[in-house]
Amino acid sequence: MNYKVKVAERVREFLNALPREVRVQVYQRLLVDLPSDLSLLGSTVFPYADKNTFPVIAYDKSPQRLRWWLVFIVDRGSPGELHVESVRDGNESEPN
Amino acid sequence: MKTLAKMYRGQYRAVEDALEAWKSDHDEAMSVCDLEEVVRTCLRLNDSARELVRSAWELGFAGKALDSEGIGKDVLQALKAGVVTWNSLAESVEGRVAQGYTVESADGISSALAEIQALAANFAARWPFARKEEIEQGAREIAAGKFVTGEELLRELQGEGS
Repeated sequence: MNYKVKVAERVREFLNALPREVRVQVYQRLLVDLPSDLSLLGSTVFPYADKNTFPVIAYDKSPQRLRWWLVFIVDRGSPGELHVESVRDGNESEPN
Repeated sequence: MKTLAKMYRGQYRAVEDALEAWKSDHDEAMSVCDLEEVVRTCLRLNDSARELVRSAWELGFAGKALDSEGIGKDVLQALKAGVVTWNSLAESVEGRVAQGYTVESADGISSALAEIQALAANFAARWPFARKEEIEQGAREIAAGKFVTGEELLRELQGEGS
């Protein structure tokens, strides 16, 4: 089954701020791969039974070729739909 | 990863328990030797905690932290246990120094405490923990029709060209 994906406005704003080459990789995972294979979802998010994490790794084209680690929160509680409600990120430009 | 985080948290707590027992020791000269060993143990634990944090981030950036919530929670609990233990240790060492004893490595305690505090604060701020208020705001937006579909996003991207 291929699920219909709905992306909350606030998540869209976040995505729009990403470099295009990063967005291409993220959309492939979030909008193409995930809707056809829910086994890609990560763990459930306490205390919600129907919300899971979905991690995506992407690379930008900067000289340092930074990795982006994005964790989306996806609700699968509506039949036939996946709701992308939130996203958190980290990238390697920040010191660990 | 989660096993190591739980182990370090347990070790920090064991040190804290030992410090409580130490406070009731009335042989002050002997107890200073014990305290010095506790400091050495905690310094080693800080090395492990630093490595734990580095490994957690590496796991995340490798796309292997599927349970990012659980990993993050366990690592943060270990770091917080470290902060509690170092605070207790700093207090004990200050007490002995005030009584005129020399405690080996006493000068490094404030920087070790500051390091574990910074490690915990940085991790709590930067690890991509799910935030309940953000999730609920996103759910409200979708329920109110404030969303874009995956197909629309893909069309937008294709329309941008390369």
